Amino acid sequence: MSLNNVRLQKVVKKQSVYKVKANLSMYSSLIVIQLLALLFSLGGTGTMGTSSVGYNGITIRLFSADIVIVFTMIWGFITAIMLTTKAYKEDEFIFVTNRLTSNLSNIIFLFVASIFSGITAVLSGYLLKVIMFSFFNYEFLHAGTSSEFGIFISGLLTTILYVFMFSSFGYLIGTVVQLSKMFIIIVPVVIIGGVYLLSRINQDVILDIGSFYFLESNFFIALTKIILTAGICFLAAIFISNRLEVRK
Amino acid sequence: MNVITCEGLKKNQRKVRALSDLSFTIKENTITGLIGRNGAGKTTLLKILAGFWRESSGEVKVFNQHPFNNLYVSANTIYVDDQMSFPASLTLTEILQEAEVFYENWNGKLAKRLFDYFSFHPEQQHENLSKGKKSTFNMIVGLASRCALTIYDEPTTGMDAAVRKDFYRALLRDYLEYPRTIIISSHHLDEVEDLLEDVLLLQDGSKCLHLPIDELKDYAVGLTGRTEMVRQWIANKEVFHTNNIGAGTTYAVVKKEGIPLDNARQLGMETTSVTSSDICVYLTDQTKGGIDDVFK
Repeated sequence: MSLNNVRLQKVVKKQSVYKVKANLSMYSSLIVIQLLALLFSLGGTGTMGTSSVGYNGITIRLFSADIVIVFTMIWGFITAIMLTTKAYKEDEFIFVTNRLTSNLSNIIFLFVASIFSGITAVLSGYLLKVIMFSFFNYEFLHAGTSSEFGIFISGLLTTILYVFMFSSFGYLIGTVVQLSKMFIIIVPVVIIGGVYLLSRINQDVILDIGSFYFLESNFFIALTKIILTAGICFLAAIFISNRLEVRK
Repeated sequence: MNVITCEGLKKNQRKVRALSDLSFTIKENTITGLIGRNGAGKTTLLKILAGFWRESSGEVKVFNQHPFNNLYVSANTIYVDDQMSFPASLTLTEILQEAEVFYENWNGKLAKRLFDYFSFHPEQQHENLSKGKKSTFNMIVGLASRCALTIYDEPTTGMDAAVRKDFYRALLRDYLEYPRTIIISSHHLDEVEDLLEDVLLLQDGSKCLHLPIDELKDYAVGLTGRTEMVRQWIANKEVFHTNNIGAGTTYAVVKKEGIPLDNARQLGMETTSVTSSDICVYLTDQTKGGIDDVFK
């Protein structure tokens, strides 16, 4: 009887490939959600209106992929929570694994999912414009997107990382809930209660948090903020789940 | 070499003690039967050995390492039961292909031949299989993975008699070809006893017996005779079971060791052998009276 020695990286790699294959259904849910978001975007994601006497006024509508991106972030959040549930844990603890490889391969899977969903989300903005051109009778003021390739790429990258960051929130919350079902109640209470308390102290705190992540004009600082936040969440999740029992 | 060593293993599940002070060793390349009544702690023990659950106290070593959260143990161990859940998006063939990726000793040829023999449909989903078919498929995964430690927790749940026989035969043949350490937990000792080398009998979370199967078969003897005589004769002996089987006649099962059987026969008692399965039932009898007493 010879015993097989396995290397961590090799197992993580095998598991990541396995998860991309095994969780294919998550991609179909992504497509449905993005199509739905696209439908919502048809009315315009923002309007500016002027009205003057004698005229009906002018309404300027903005068409962008914003709603699709927001929906994709929510999708990333929920997908990550699902990965931590019992049903998915059981699927992966069938084959060679421990908690560390399982977490690492989940993170890789979520990253791959973020790349995929980020790209489709950003590209859906173009699809939206094509739809506007083809089927609606609008007067186009400006149909351009970022003309520069560099800006397009940085937009794409930040979108991908935003989705990844939201999936790290979901992953952490999901893992905490696995620890004890009580957290299903405690987590929302803490989050909502915390936000409420903070906003009583300082009204702009939610806006501040939002602008901390979303209004950073320096691309690299934005990247650092997002990656650090996601990293902290994932590390916490790995730490918490390292003693969880599986296949109950 | 010992594959498994347990020293004072304890496991609590909330306030209930599932395992208490369990100590035993299992040698390399043996087939051990883990026998016990419902709730004796069989599954708890096996899940700790497979590294899924963490022991509460005591020491447990598999391949000389602590199994919980251990990649090395996981790579050389497979745990097969009827609760195995595979991703719904994979077909049966794809599941076997994935298993091949993970287990280095995977025997693809054997898996394919068993798959065809039990006439599985390659495109079928695992969750749509019947209970018996699920067990059969899990058994194929367990056999083909050829892990140094293969754990079957009630592997025959839902299988029909023919498949059960086939399974035991396949298990034995593959074991002879490729020896490894196998643990089978089962309620049906009579079915598996021809396979087993050792029996580990659990009762209420602790070890009741750990013996080679041949010794277990010879462990006890049944005595039938007139009630007063049997009662008197077994008074200072280790009695596992007594039963009134008719007017003035009693059947008693006593430990065979050191029993003067000739003497018993001379006194007019009939001596019979007791099957190992019956011995296990008597040893682990925890019910008060019989089921009939419930309805009194």
